[in-house]
Amino acid sequence: MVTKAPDLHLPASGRPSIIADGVGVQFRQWPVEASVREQLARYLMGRTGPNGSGYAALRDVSLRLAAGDRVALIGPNGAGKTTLLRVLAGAYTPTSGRVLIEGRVATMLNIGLYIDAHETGLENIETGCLMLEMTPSEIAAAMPRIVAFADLGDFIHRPVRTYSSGMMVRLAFAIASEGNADILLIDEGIGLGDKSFKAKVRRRLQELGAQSRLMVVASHSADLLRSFCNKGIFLRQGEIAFSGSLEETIAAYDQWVTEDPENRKPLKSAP
Amino acid sequence: MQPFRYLSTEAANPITDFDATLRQWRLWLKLAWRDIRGRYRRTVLGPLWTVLGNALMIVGMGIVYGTLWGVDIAAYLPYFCGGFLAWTLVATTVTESCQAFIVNSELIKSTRLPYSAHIARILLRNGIVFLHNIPLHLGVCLYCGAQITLTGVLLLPVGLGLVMLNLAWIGLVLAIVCARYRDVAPLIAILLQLMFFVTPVIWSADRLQGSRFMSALLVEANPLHNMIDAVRAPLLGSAPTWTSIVVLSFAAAAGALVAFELLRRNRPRIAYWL
Repeated sequence: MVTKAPDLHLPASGRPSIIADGVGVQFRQWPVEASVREQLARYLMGRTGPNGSGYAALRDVSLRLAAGDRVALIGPNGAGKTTLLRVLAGAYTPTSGRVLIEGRVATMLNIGLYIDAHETGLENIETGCLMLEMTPSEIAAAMPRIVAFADLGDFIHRPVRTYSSGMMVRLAFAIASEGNADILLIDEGIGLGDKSFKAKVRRRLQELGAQSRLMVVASHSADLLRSFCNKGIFLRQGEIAFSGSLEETIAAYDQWVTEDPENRKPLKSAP
Repeated sequence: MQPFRYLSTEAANPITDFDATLRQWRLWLKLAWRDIRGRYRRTVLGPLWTVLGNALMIVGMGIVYGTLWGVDIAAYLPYFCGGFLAWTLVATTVTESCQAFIVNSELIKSTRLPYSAHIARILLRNGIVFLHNIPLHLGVCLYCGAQITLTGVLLLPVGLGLVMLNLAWIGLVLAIVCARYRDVAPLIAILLQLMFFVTPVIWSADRLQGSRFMSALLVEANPLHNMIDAVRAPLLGSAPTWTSIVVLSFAAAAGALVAFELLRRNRPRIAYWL
């Protein structure tokens, strides 16, 4: 992984890739409790009032990810992992710098994909596929694969509101991984689901890596990350503190934790 | 443009956004349908409820107000019916547009789906509901012996198209403004409530003939009246006034520019407001 400023005008390679160039995200911050009068005053004064200085969620993040990369995103809470995933999904436009994303992106942030609880599993699969810009024939081809992977039995014909949260994650993961997404962005969520499904997720993510898709997974579980990631990014206070192979990155993170074991939590490992 | 290619600096361009919406029409059509179905899920009558609700409203209000104004019910009922259906289309679309980005915040913050598509979804579902109510209007017309003319049939798509174009830019502008300033949505809701009574929907514009000033204020210069007129007149078998057509055409052109510019300036920030 090279962190020098990349050239964003490369010809399209047709393979999934993500290039971030000096990406910064500056949040504007408002006091939580402001009186109506104060708010009105701020509205009239414009965007930046005296308290509107904000904070940087991401600072000068440059990275270049290519097909086959399975990247573990580690860092303490509030380091900017979710913000970075939102930027890589193309949802947040960086307030400075640029991002170039090639490929269809499936995101599983907190709740999973876009799932409508009132619709059946099958209906949700179709909508999820359409969100991945799949054509009707691609959807028809992917449908049986997704249904088989989710392995929900008759529940696939029932509204999602009857599902347990584990079943919901299975459905979301099945769509994201068996649909035609080139890039998978996953935030924790896959920690849910039962043991056998977790094993299935690991296998599937390894396969996807072998098929030259691109993955970024944010997690606090070292075991989970070790089972399918080959690279790592250690994010701290919105900046890339370290990036390299997975083991190097975990070592860098552990090193940082041992500097202040009182306040810093190590990555989770199997008991 | 490369398929499935996203460049953050390019995404702010409204053309990119509109283009993506057009490309993904299947998704919005599906979501619009799902919205309509979802509203009546697990009810026995399903979407018939919309028609039934409107029918009750129209007959009830029609009889009361027809008597209050002292006009012939057979002439008043079709007028009120057409106006009410047009009003519902406009008011519901405007109200829902205020929440367009807010209710989809999860989607907006985790995918790169185009923003204009949320407006397309609202327009589509309200358009479908409106068309679904046309048989009700035809029923009222038949019952009251009102004429259904070729002019009306030919001009309805024109009027409806003009209204939809205007609702598209109004919706986009409101969605952006309401995401940033959360006080705007309740304000719009209150204004719409007032406008229902102030705009000639339950009463007819020619009752204002006595007052040149009020007529200019509430009828000619009232954009809501122009939108209602463009749909109601064809429903009643006549052509919309030229004023309506000219006003709506200019408003659509000017509004499109406003919406375009507003989206261009604010596109990169909207996700952070949600």
